[in-house]
Parts: sequence; C-alpha cells; structure tokens
Amino acid sequence: MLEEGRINGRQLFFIMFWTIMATAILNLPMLITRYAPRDGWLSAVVFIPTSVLIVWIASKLGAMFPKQTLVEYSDLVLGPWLGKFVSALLILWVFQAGSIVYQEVVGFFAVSILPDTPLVVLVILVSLAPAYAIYHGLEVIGRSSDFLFFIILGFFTLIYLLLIPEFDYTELLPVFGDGIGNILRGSLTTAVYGGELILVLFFYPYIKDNQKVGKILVSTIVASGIGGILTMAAYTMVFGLECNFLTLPFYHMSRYASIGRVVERIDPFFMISNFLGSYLKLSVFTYVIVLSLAQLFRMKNYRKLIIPVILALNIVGFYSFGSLMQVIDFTDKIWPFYSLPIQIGIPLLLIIVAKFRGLGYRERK
Amino acid sequence: MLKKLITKIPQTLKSKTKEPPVWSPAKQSVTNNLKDNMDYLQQELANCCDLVSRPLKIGLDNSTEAFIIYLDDLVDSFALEKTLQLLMQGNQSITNTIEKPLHKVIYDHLLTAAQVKPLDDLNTLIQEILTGTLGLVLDGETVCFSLGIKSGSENRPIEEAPSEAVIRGPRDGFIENIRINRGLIRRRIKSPKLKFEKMTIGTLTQTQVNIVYIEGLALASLIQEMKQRLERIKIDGIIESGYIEEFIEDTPYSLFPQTMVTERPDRVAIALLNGRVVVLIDTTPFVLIVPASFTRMLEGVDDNYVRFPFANFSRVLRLITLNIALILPAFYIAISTFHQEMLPTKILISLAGVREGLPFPVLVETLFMETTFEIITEAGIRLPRAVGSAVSIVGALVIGDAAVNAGFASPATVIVVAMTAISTLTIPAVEASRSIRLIRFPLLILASAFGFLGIVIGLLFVLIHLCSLRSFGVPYLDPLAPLHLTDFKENIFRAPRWSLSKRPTEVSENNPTRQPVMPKGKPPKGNEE
Amino acid sequence: MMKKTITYTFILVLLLTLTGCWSKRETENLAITNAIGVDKINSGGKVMYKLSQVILRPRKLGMSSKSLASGSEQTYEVVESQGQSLEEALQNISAEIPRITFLAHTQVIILGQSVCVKNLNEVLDFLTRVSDIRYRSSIYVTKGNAFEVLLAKPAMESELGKEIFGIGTYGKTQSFEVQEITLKDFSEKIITPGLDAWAPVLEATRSDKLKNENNLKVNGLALFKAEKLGGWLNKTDTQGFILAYGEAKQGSLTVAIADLGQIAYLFNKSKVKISVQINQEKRITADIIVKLSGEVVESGAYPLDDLEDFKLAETRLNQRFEEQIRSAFKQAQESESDILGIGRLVERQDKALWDSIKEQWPKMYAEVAINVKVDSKIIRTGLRNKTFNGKFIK
Repeated sequence: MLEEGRINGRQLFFIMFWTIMATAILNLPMLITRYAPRDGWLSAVVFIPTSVLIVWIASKLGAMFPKQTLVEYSDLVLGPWLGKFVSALLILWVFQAGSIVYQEVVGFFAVSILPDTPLVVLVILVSLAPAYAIYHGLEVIGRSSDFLFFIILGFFTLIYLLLIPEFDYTELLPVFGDGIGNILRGSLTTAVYGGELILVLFFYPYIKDNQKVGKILVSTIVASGIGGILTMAAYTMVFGLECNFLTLPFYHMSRYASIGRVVERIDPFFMISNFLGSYLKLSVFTYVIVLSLAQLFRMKNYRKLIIPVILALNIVGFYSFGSLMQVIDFTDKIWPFYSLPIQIGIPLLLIIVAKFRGLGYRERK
Repeated sequence: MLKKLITKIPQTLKSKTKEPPVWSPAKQSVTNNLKDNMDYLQQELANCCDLVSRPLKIGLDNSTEAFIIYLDDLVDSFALEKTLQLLMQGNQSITNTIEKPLHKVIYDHLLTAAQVKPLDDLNTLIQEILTGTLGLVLDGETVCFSLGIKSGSENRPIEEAPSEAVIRGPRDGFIENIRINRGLIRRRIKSPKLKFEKMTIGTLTQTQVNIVYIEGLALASLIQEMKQRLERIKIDGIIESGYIEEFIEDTPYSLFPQTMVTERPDRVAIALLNGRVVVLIDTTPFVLIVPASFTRMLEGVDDNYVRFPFANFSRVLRLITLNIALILPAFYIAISTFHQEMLPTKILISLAGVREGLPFPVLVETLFMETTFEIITEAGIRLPRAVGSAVSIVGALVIGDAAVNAGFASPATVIVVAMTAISTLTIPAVEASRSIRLIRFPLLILASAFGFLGIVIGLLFVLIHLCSLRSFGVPYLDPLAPLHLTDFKENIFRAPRWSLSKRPTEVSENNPTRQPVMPKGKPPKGNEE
Repeated sequence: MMKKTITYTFILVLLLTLTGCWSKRETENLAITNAIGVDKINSGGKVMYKLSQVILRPRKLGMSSKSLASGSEQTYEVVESQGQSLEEALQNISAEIPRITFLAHTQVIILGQSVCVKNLNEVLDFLTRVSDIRYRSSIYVTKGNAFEVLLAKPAMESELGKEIFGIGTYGKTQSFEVQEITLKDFSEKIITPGLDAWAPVLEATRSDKLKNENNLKVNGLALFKAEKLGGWLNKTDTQGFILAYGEAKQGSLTVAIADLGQIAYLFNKSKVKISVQINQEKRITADIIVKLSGEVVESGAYPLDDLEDFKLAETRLNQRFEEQIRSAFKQAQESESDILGIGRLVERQDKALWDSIKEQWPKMYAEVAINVKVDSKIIRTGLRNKTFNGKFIK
C-alpha cells in the first residue's frame, strides 16, 4: 500500500471545505461580479445545486469501488489502455488546476504583503509546508486540518463580524435586477470549484467509513455554499457597485474592517488565514497528483515524487500565464468550459461502463 | 569541499558498532567444595574493599561449614547480626534426616530473613550480592542462598519535588530509591491490579527498572510494546531516565518530548488511573509516563485539585503565555518592520520616536536581548542559592536598563523580551518549555525576513511536525487533532469533577467509565430549619 | 535519506542568509503621512498635479513638549511636490525627503476645487489603486487650494491630520452641520447611477486674534454631479440635508416663536424614511418623513407653562426643519446632484422604469417634487421646567 494513514469523515469535511473556499475567496467574487454586480449572492446560491450534482455523480462512482482509487479501477473498468489514458487525462486536469492554484496563491501574496520579494522565494515559501505535510502522508494532512479548521474559520468570522456595522442591505436590492442569465453565467466558474471535490475519488479508500462519503461531500458543498453566499452578500453590502472594480475582494473587505477605529488595516489576519487555507488546498492537490502518478507507474513509494511534482506545477504555472490578469481571464472564459465536462463526464463514463460490465460493489438488497 | 562536509556529517551521526560488554558472565555452577566456591567468589570480587566474608559453622550440630559474603555498604548490620545469630545458634531440635537434604532443612527452619533465594549459579550470587543481599554458601551442597536484608541506606528525606511545586496538593516527591518510590505509589492505589514488573537494564549498572500499570485499564498492547522497547535497549549503563527516554521514543530527533517526566507521585497515580503506563528507574526520582500528548504539557497537577473555574482560568492563562512565549518577539519584529499599517497611529509615532537614535535594526536588537536573557536564565540555575536571586534580578535590571540608556536597545524591546522570558517560565512541563525556547529563535529570523508570513510558515511547520508525532501509538496532538470533542472536557478545559465520568479515550478503550453518573453536590431537599 | 535532508536544509538556511529582507521597512525610516491634499495648478504653462503631504516628525523619547512650544511645525512638516500624474508627484518627493514614503496612516484627504471640477476620476483612481491608502480616510473639499488649507495651524491637536480627523469624528456626533464621508462611500457614490456624492467643505479662516494664524473650520457641503463639482450647500442647507439623510446623531435648532421668545431644541434621536411614489404619468414624488425626539435646552423668554406652549413650539420647529430640508433639496436639484439617492429608490422600486430613464436622470431629477414632513417631539425640558423670567410673580 502506498498510503497507510487513514482519515475519518470529519477530517474529510474540514479538508475539502477549505480546499474549495481558500482560493474561491481570493478571485472568484470578482469573476462573479463581472456578470452580476448586485446579485452575486444569487450566483452563490446557484452554486449549490450545480455542485451537488457533480458531487453526487462522483460519490456514486466512489461507492461502487470503495476499496480502490480511481487510478486503480479505471484500469479494471475500461481495460488497460483506455483506463490508463483516462486516468492520465484526469491527472493532467488536476495538474493544470493545481498550477492555477499555485499561481493564484503566489500572486496574492505578491500583491498584498511581500511585493518586493522575488517570485522564486515566494514559491519556495508557499510550497514548503505542503511538501512537508505530504511527506508524512494523508493522515498528517487530516490531523492538521482538524487543528486548523477552526482557527481559519475564526479569523474569517472575526473579519466578517467587524464588518457587520458597515452593511447596507439596500445595496442588495433590487433582487434579480441583473437578470437571470447573468446570474447563471456568473455561477459557471463557481461550479468548477465545487467540482474540485472529485479529487476525493483519488484517495477514496483511505477514508474510514467510506459509505458516508457522499453525505459528507454534499454537506461540504452546502457549507461552502453558505459561506459563499454570506461572503458575496457582505461584499455587495459593503462596497455596493464598486465591487465591480476591485480585485481580491475579501482582501479589500479585511482592509476596511476596523476594531473600534483604533486598529485598522487588519489585512495581515486575512492573509494568515488564507495562507493556512491555501496550505490545505495545495496539500490536497499535490498529494492527489503525487499519489496517482505513483499508482499509475506502480511505484512503491511516492515520496520521491514530491519535489519534482511541486517544481513542475510551479514552472508550468509560470510559463502558461504571463501575468495575473491572464490567470483571471483564463479562469473566467476558458476554464469552466472544459473543466465541467471532465468533472461530470469522466465519472459518468466510468459509472456507465462499469454498470454495463457488471463491475463494482453493489448493495445487497 | 562542500560535498566532503556534507558527507562527513551523516557519518558521524551513524551509530558506532556495538562493542561487547565488559562483563558477560556465563553460568558458573556451585560445586560441592566450599573452598573452590570461596576462591571463585573472592577472585571475582577482588580489589573491592567493601567486601566482607567469613566462614562460620551452621548450628545444627555445628557440623556444617558455611561461608557468608556480603558488601558492607549495602547491608543493614543490625538485621545481619540477627540473622547470623540465628544461623549460628540454630535450633537444636532439628536433626538432619536423610530424606531431606541439608540445604532444604536450613531453608525451611533456619533462615529467618524473609526474602531468601536459592541459587545454583555463583555469578547470579555475585549479582545478588551487588544489590545488597547476604550470600551464604554451604559446604557439600550445590545450592547457595542469597538472603535479602537490604538496608534502606541513607536516603534523601521525602520532600516536595523541586521542579514541580503546586499550590494545592500533596507535597511528597519521588527520591532516588526505587523501593520507596514504589511505596509512594502503593499508598495511593491500593489494589491488587496495580502491577510492578521488574526489568534490569544496563550491563554494568544493572539498574532496576519497573513498568507500572493497572491491569485491565492499560491496554495490553501498550504494555507489550513498552516491554519490547525496553528489552531492546543494550547499553552499558543507565544513569537517569533520560537515557531510557531517548531509547523508547518514536521519533527521537524531534524537538518535542514524547514521554512525560515527573517527580510527583500524585501525577503518576492520576496517570495510572487513566490507563497510562509508568516507568520507574532506580537512582533517579524522575519517572516516565507514557503515552504523552501535547496538551498534557500545558497541564499542571493542581488543575485537578483546585475548583474548576480557577482551574480553567489558569489553563487559559497558560495557553496565552504559551502563545506569548512562542510568538511575541517574532510578532513584535514583524509588526514593526512589515506591517506598520496595523498599528494605531499614536503607537507608531511613539515607536518611531523611540527608535530614532538606535543603531541596530530590530532583529539584531531583539536577538541581543533574547540571548542575554537566555544567558541569565541559564546562569540562574547554577548560581549558589545564597547569591542566586540577587544576582539574577540585578543582572536583568542592570543589563536591561543599561542597554536602554546606552542606546543599544529600545524600551519596547526590553518589555517584549522580559514578557517572553516570564511567559516561558510559566509552562509547567520543563521539557516543553525548552522546546519552545528553541523554536522561538528560528521564528524570529523568519519574521524578520518575511513578516507575518514567516511566522505563519514557521508555526505551520511546527504544527505539521507535531501532527506527525506519535507517542506509543497515540497521536501527539490528541484531542485537538484528531478531534475528539468529548475529550475536551478533561484535556482542554477541566469540567467539574462530577461530570468527568468517562476516562479520556486516547488510552483507555478498555474501561471507559470511571463511575456511572456521579452525583453533584446539592443541598438536601426538604426542611431547611 | 539523512544526507538529502541535511543537504536541503542547508540550502534553505543559506538562502535565508543570502537574501536581504526585501519588503522590510524599519520604523525609524518611515515618513508617516497623516493628511494629503490634491490640487491642480498651472506651473510654467503646464497643468500639473500638486500633492501636499503632512509628514510627521516623531519626537525622541524624553523630550518634553515645552521645548516645542515654539511652533507645532516641529511635530509635522508640510511637503509639496508636483508632477503630471499623482504617482509622479509622489515619486518626486523621494528626491527631497530622506525617508520611505508611507501613506498608510493617511486619515484625511483634501481635494482642492481645481481637482473636483475636472479631474476627479484620475484622482480617485490613484487613491484606490495604490495599495497603501486606507479606504476609511475622510474626504474633504476646499473652495480654493488644498495646500493653503494645509498651512493652517491646528488649534488643539499636535498634528494637522489629527485635528481635521477629530473635527469630523467628534463634530458629527454633536451637531448636524458636520458630517464625514469615507473614501469608500465617496467613490461608491460617484460611480453608482442614481446617487451622487457629497463631501464636507474645509476652510481655513483667518482668526481675528493677534496671533494672525489660520484656523480650520468645516463649513457646508460640496455637491457632485457624477464626477464633477455641482454646487455648494451652505450651513443651514447642510443641516437640512444631513437631517434628511438620516445620519444626524444630535443637533440643535433655535427658533423664534411668534413674538414670545425663542427656544433652542436639541434632538438626539432621529428616524427618517424616504420613499418614492411613481404615478401614472411617470411623475416621481419623493416623500421624506422625519421623526425627531429631543428636549428643550434653552429658552429665552418663551414661557413653558402648559402643554399648549410645547405644541406651539413643536409646530414652529417642524416648520423650520421642513424649510431647511426643502431649501437643501432645491439647491441640490439646481446642481443636478441627487444626493439623497432618489434615483436608487426608483431603481429599487421599479427597475424597468429606471432602466428606461437612467440616461436622462440628471435632468429628470430637477422635476422631482418632494413632500417633507417633520415631526419633532419635545419629550423633556432638562433640569428646569419654567422659563427664567426675572422675579417670580405669582
């Protein structure tokens, strides 16, 4: 076995919650408000059913093969050549998603806190902690998420609570003023973030009680949906139409929050919590890639792959995008349109073929 | 050249091959001939000036020759003379019949010491003598005896453990004699289920090591694991529990201790009641408690005795001081060099004003003051008691004050460093406070390079490391990670005694209930005249 | 494995020591700016931006404030620079000041009239794009040039920025002729269609005392029409507007009642409801309903004997308040500045209609009729009941 550690359902919830929210908070509100400036929170509401759909398909697939990872059973289901091809395709998609995440995170820190630091150093800083965690395995990632979940949540809630006096609910009116079409277009990219939960398929057997995984994932989606609604609503209520113009929305909100007008500009707090959340997200992504590559190539130990994969992710990220604006443009206009088919299509394909061939664990009636 | 340096370091870290121990005795049987036995014994123990031996005749009919041998320092002379008296005067009514061999008769009737061991190996006899027994060799018999009349030898009086003082609670602490330590534990837990298993570790020191546990509470696998790890130890001498600690830890090169060390028997008793396993070691008052977890490091024993609001208050306070001790200097550096916008304007202005004429950047200043305080702390341990407190106070004041006046440091830095030093001293477990002192310095450097991000990265690394630590199978950060909310009642906060009806689950899946639903204190119902 | 770990750690440690610490700024090397003023001036034929900053000089510890009585110039310094864009002006300062520019503690931003008339867009772009300036800074407008106002001497505080900030913060809790607006609200109001921005006016008045210094005073409001300056409100109109806006925390009004005398009324609770009615011919009427409650704090010869007197006083007060609000609104309509957000209210009520008229809204705004109704209650009379009226005659 490549991985001996196990995580339980609650740790899964904690990890996946921040996997979605950590970078969603960074750039996503800006993408949504491009289309629906006042009704952004409605796009966040639409996020819930679309992502639940994707997650439901994925969890059905996982439940059919509870003891194996996706890489392992796609060989079984589709045959050796096609199976490996499909796994490689998914791994490549995860790889690209991961490189975008690295770009977003490094870009965020370069803009907000350490503008003069060379990017190489920032990359090393950001990548060190996930590398160390993956070296120790899934269980350590799970345990650290147990510890960190409430800390990160606490920081966010603090900033949120400090902003409540600034809320002006009239900014949200008129509801549906932006038009349903815009709202739906705004929610397209959010669905991709929800679809990141298919990463669970890659380490499904290492979760204890994996009959409950489906429910846990759905509750993760609902929780992050609620978080997204609250964030978007707060963003619109504080900034009004200006949210159309600002990058890094939550960062601006944290800059505006003040403790009694004595301590202002508490954005380092937001930066800390975002760093911790990004650590969890990057750990999960990199772990999935490393583990799956090791399984694909039948390696005994995935530890050798950690540093090469991280380096590759960063290099690919740097060379694909010239600037932060390109990253944002890409995630807005191109990324959803081929991610969603992959996220929905490949699990669906595997389910159909497996049912057709009579494979997979079936519930005894 | 760099490569040579890099390859050299691991080589020195590789353990050296084991050399054969100095004295590995094979079996040397007792022969019938008294003279041979005597010669062998005296030859093996030659040049030991505390060795005393004399021949005597056992009193049945004064016909049996025998030979006693013992070490003077370890034997209680009063009990010795009493035993000899009985041996030599004997019981005239017992005759030597043919059915029973002589040594059996002597064993049954004449040896009045309570602890007698018949042996047939002279080397074992020598080992016994070395622990303070009286050796008796009989002529014509292949069995010799070792009579246990150990004295208490001179021991330190039982007084409060100097490293763990409490406000409320018993004031006895372990001393260097393992028998007395055992007694201290026995007095607290009077149950036949309390087991002490003996092991001897160290080929030259032959130190007695006891594994203590309550059968039925402690997991059998834990006890087994402990035994295995102790048996693995092949070393020439165990002087202190620290030696054993380093052998049995899961991750020996970590900065954090994975066993708890204590001098207090009440702490040991509480741990045993929770299902933990304790290791007692002769000649040292420090015992090891296993498994350990990080939250235990923050716990003082009197949290359990004091009323629960105060206990929780002091726990919260200790948590704050832990954070201060770890982060405050780094936080100060990060805020004043990277994140000045967080400070209120008034503070920023006074900070800038105060730093106007100072030559060094904040990092150098803080490192200088920190190192100074560490030196003072270290010196304070070794100063003779009479001069100790005066010198340390004056030293701290003078150095701090003089530094400020000379323009080396700013008062803000001195305040920060002083608060940190005091906070470090409030952490109950000495081992953990040392770890924290060590971590503080890299955090300082990271903070001066990258601000808050540096601090967060450093702490995240420490967290991941802690998450990966296990102490005998128990995750080190239990119950924080993995999250066991029900254990919070005991570990993090201290709920009132009447609600702690379950033992913490980290160790005691065996027997989770202490007592079913304990009654709260309530005024009696009914009449209140 | 051990070898590799050591090698990597070695490299990392080396990296840390080789590097400088790039984004580090020591506190004693900062030029802390407390207030900035933006103008557009003609210099040598070219039109340039002029940026003036109030830079603080932290005192060394132990120096008593007596030695600084010679002038509060000691605690701060007004530094001016010019450039074609604001960023250029900012850069030009670094050739004069031996410190690192640090705008993050700016509490007050003063916009000169020259900037408000034409180039507000560029200024706001600079202020919000640069990562240092807080969104919570207060915006003030001057009728002349900002740098002249910054030459005034603060009357009480040690620094100019703190003085202006204090006038805004504490002034608005005490009287309703002063109101603050933060940068965020200001820029938000400028870009939202159906709403217009306003800012308090700061002026430096020449005091008549022998010292011949300038003192600062907040006087009235500047009204904006999209991103251009529209008009001004004087003091009484400002009071009316702030009352209608709903932000009046406390305020007092003195009214003369018939020939009987005058009273001063202090209210500390106000509740405002503005709603919009759209009738068949697409005529828009705004209803402003204000409810106040407060007490009489000064009565000059007006008898306060029985309840009828109070009713008369309340009626007179209502009249005066309504006059103020109407006058303010009329002035705003003349400046085509929809400061009360009537347009937004229309949008909230009937989006389809709004979408059709939003282009012409500034013109249509002038035709909006308002109904004002103020209901002020006198609930207490302080510590006296009857008026002071000379000798007591039964």
